[in-house]
Amino acid sequence: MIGARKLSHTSALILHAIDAGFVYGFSVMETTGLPSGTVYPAMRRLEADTLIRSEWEEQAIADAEQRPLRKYYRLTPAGKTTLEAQRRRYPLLARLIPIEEEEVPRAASL
Amino acid sequence: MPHPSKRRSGALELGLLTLAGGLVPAVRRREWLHEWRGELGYLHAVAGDGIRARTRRLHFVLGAFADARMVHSIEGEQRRHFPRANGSPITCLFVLGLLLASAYGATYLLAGVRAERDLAPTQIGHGLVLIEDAEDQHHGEPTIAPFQIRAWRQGRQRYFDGFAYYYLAAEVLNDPAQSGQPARWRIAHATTNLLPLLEAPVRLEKQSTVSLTPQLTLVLCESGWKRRYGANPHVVGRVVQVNGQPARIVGVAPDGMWRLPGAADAWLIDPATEQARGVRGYAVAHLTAEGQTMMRSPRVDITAYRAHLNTDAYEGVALYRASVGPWSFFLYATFLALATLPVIVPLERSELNLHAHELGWMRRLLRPLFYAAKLALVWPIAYFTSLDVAYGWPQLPVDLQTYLQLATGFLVCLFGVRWAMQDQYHRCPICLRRVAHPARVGFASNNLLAWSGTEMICTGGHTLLHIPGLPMSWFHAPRWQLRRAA
Repeated sequence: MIGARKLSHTSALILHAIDAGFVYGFSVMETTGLPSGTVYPAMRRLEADTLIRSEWEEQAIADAEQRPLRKYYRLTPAGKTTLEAQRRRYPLLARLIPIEEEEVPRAASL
Repeated sequence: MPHPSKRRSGALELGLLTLAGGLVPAVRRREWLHEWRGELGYLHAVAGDGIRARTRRLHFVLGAFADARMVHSIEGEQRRHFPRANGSPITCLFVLGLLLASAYGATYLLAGVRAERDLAPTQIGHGLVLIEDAEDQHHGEPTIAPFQIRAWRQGRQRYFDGFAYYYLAAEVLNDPAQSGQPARWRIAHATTNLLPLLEAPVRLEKQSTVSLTPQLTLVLCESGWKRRYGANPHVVGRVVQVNGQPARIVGVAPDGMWRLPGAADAWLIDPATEQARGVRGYAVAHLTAEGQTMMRSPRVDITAYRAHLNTDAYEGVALYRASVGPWSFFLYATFLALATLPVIVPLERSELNLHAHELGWMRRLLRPLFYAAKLALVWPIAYFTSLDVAYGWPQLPVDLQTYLQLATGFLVCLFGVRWAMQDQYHRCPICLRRVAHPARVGFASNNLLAWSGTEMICTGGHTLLHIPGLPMSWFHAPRWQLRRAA
């Protein structure tokens, strides 16, 4: 498939987690069970490969919730295409992290 | 107010984060630190403040170092414009070719290396013997007087058709082109036929000066030339004073070329050598064809007849071909490196367990060709680098240069071949690009039924390389898995 890149299982899992709504680093870590030394570097690589993009949330939201600012990640169109291909390659991804229908935190401007 | 231990823990975490931030390029550091501090703050909020929570936060913060390295690496890739040896196959060969050209070019730029290359040992002629007095118990001592040579030359010879002679003397050498006091040299006075008899061309010799010069001629020995002239090739043709007599330097000869006894700094080709009185020296004789058949061992007894059937006993010592030089040292270093290689490279790493039909004959052919090309480039790189390192400083003693060449040749050969093997091991069998993005996969288990290891993917997306974390009977060596387009 043109435009679909091949990823390792770990990278595919992280991509799937972000798509499932776990959109900042720590939530990806908790969901996948992967250590910070794996998750964050993998997310940097995915971002460098333009499969995901990041954006800081608005200061007002963080202030209202009295917590530090968060950096949110989201799949790019290329990332979505790639993830579809990876789901066919790794059918168990969906079972590892079911996609929830509930509302997930979003960056204000995403 | 927070508990002191909590404050210390928090300071440690922030300190580690700041330390890791040092690895991140400055343009991205502030944002990077901001994100990690924010995530750490969130962890503080959810994890509480027990020992387990502190340990968890510490593990979390330690992950920042891997992340910082990744950011550094990505930033470097985006800025890097020059090719790398672990890039695509073409880039890899280009970089190796560049290294080879640099190492080879340096042999021309460095005077000492250029001289060493020019002075590659030449072979001495067949059928040469050094004649010594049989009564002398110490081999290598000068025992022959000049009049004996004159007598042998005038007599009818059956086994010899040429005699040359030399003796050693400490002489004062004054070089007007060099400032400073005249130096004392160990000069070997040689008959004019010594060099032709040895068939030893002097590489830096200026041909026109040999026969036309009215002065004596002087051939510097390599060690003396390096020590006293710093391997300056321009000394050839210069006229110096040896004990007040003018002598023209016509060339430089390697030290070990002739394997003749006596460690001379220079050879003075002097027609009056055979007329010297009160000296003892060495006789070199060339054997006739009949003489060569009689030379059945390295040492033979020689009997010289004088008047009234009186005889003198001598011993002839065969002069063998000299073959030791930079190339020989390098061959020896290569042999040592290849013998050592299995110690530092696991043999199973060369395993390629993809089925032949999955690759096609062209890819199967290209892979070993690429491997051979890398090795073919690494080997001369090692040779020329060893020359550059060892002979780039002519002031160093000759022995030290030899050791340096041996050590450099060995190390570059060993680690060069190791790099080539490991690089090949990490090359995708389909496109020959490197595999990248290592990721820990699987789960370790106590009963060893589960599988865990490292998975790497070809940057072209063709293959996956699985490396088992714990080798087992059913999965002990790394495996390639072909990826087909999804």
